[in-house]
Amino acid sequence: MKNRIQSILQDLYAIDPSLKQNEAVLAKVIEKLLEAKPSSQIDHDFVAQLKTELDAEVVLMAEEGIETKENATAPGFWDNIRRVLYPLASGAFALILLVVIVNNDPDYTQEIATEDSIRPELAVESTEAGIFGFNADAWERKVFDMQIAELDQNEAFGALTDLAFETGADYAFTTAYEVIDGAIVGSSDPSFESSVPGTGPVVVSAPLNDDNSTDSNTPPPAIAADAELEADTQPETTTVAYQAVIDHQYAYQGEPFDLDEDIYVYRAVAPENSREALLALLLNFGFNEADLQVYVDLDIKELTLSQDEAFGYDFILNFEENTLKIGQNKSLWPEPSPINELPSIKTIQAIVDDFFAENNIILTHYGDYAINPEWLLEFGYLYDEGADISEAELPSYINLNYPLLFDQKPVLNLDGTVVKIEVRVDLAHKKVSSVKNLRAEVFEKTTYQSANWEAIMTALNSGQFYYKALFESNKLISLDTPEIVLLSLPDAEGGREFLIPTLKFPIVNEEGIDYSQDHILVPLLEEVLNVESI
Amino acid sequence: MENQCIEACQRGELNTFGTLYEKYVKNIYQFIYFKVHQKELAEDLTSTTFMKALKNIKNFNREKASFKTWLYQIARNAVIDHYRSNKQTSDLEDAWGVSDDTNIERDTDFKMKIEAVQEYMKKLKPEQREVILLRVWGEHSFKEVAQIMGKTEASCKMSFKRVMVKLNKDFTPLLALLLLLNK
Repeated sequence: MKNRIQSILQDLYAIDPSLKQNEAVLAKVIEKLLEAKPSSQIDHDFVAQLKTELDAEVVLMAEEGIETKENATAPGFWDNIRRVLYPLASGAFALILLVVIVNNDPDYTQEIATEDSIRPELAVESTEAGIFGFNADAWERKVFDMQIAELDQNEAFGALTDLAFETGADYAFTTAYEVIDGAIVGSSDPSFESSVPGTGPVVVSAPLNDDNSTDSNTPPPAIAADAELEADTQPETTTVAYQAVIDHQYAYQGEPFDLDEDIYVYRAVAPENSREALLALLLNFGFNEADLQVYVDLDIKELTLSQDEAFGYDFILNFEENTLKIGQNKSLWPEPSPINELPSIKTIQAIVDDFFAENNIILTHYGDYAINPEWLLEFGYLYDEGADISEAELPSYINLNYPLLFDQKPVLNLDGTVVKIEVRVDLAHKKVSSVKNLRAEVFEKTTYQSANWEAIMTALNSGQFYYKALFESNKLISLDTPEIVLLSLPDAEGGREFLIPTLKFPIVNEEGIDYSQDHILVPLLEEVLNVESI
Repeated sequence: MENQCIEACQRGELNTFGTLYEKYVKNIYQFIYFKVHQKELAEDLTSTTFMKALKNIKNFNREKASFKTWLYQIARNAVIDHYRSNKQTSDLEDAWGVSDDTNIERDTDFKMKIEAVQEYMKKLKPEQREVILLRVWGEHSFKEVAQIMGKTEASCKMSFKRVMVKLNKDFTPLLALLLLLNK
């Protein structure tokens, strides 16, 4: 026991050497704790029994036909199905419904075709109840006009401590750098780079890779002395993998900021009879006469319908996530010719507006579009006044992003990116070619008590909110007046999405310091901030 | 190896789940037992944990957390759900806050063992208790504690220090009394 006591004492002294003054009492405390440890031997019969039960469950799941991620979403899988089935589409088949049926056989597909050619029509026309098998008119047909229901009870979602796990806010990261003569010259391994999450407080457990042999708290040699070298150690050029825990302090330089006592927390819920509701959305895209009732009771996760006509689309419904994705049915779109001139932004906007209007897509909770930043970076100059585009290679598409806004607040992902609907416009054909992230959920909201300013500052300075791209430890980072955004957090089991009011502090970009992250996100809920454990 | 098993499970080859089970079952059981103080309940909740993990492994996202963190979070939730579903203990997250005069059962040997520290442990917040249980009783390194709790090593160490300072403060009068009595 003495060794254990010493080991724990050494831990404590490493954290705070001043504790050595209290060694006698601390040793006694640790001794008492160790003496009080109950025996926790696991019963081997139980281990064997549970293993048997798990094995039986595996068999049962296989029999019931568990659908795997890969089968459900891998494009290769869909591509293969399409390659087989598309030739059948010629002639009489106007619509092909591709269905992944949950089955032991991952390649099992069902082909269903309607008899008559169906042209997409405006969905505002009434639909005869019964064709669908259920009264489709009973469903709200304004697509994606997400409803928000306010719950009577405060804190109706209960304790949200699960979300603290997801935010974690503790930011450790693993990356690789090429070091020449002791100086970092850049990342040498793109796979490491891609494993580093984006900006913002990100949940990454330490260590990031369970099987990674790198030690935690091991900064690169240019920063501290204890870097651990990975396999490739040459005298001059060395690849260093390290996992850094960065502990910065933050200085608030903004205006005094008033926080409301109560804040709204949102939770996404599947609409009642969500499968029917999602299928009913297809009425907006001309599938009025397809017998979709057959899919209501089928145990399927995803359904793809393809329009069989020039410039047709694929419609991919995900019944688990309650989403619809619209994409080009590429085989039916003519190969685009290179374009000679760019449509004006106004024209592009009109193309999208028309598409939304024709298909009854109402984006009540979405803000004005922004052009995709990566597109702007590459092609934005083409729209500069007086830009000479005669020699330029013109893009074939442009992406417009429509940000989700609740109560006029943008919704952000953990990596700081905006939750949005992405619309791609084919510039050669002047048509919308895809729409991603259309969601058919409803939201509930309820009030929670906001964390106070003191708790926020305590959490901030506890070192929980790390700065991504600044490798030195213990920097003093200045923060400006925050804005309130909503942070999208899944619960611990990845099921429900919660939107938590969060302060987005801009980082004051001080001269001489290369900040690549421009903000810090601090949730406004104490149990998510995890301030109690600080 | 672990990552390969997880990937295989996510591809639908669930028979590899057994390897993950064997790696973690002992520690998960211990983690739960230290929270619920009762062998049979710990076994039930261990069973719940692994069944949930098996059924949800396709949703596990390695970019968000390690498998270990994820699994312990399921176990933690299973314990919390157990107490919250019981009307008499709905505000509890583990058995530490339960007084002896309630009808919650504790294994006799567990009860006897923890007698000397129970009052002090009760005063800690569930997360603070967890650091102690993992580091002192579970003999996990801080690196492992951090993984289990989904936090950084630095924040776990800091939390541990604060708890020890608090216990030190609480214990001092008792020790002084003991010294006086021994004189």
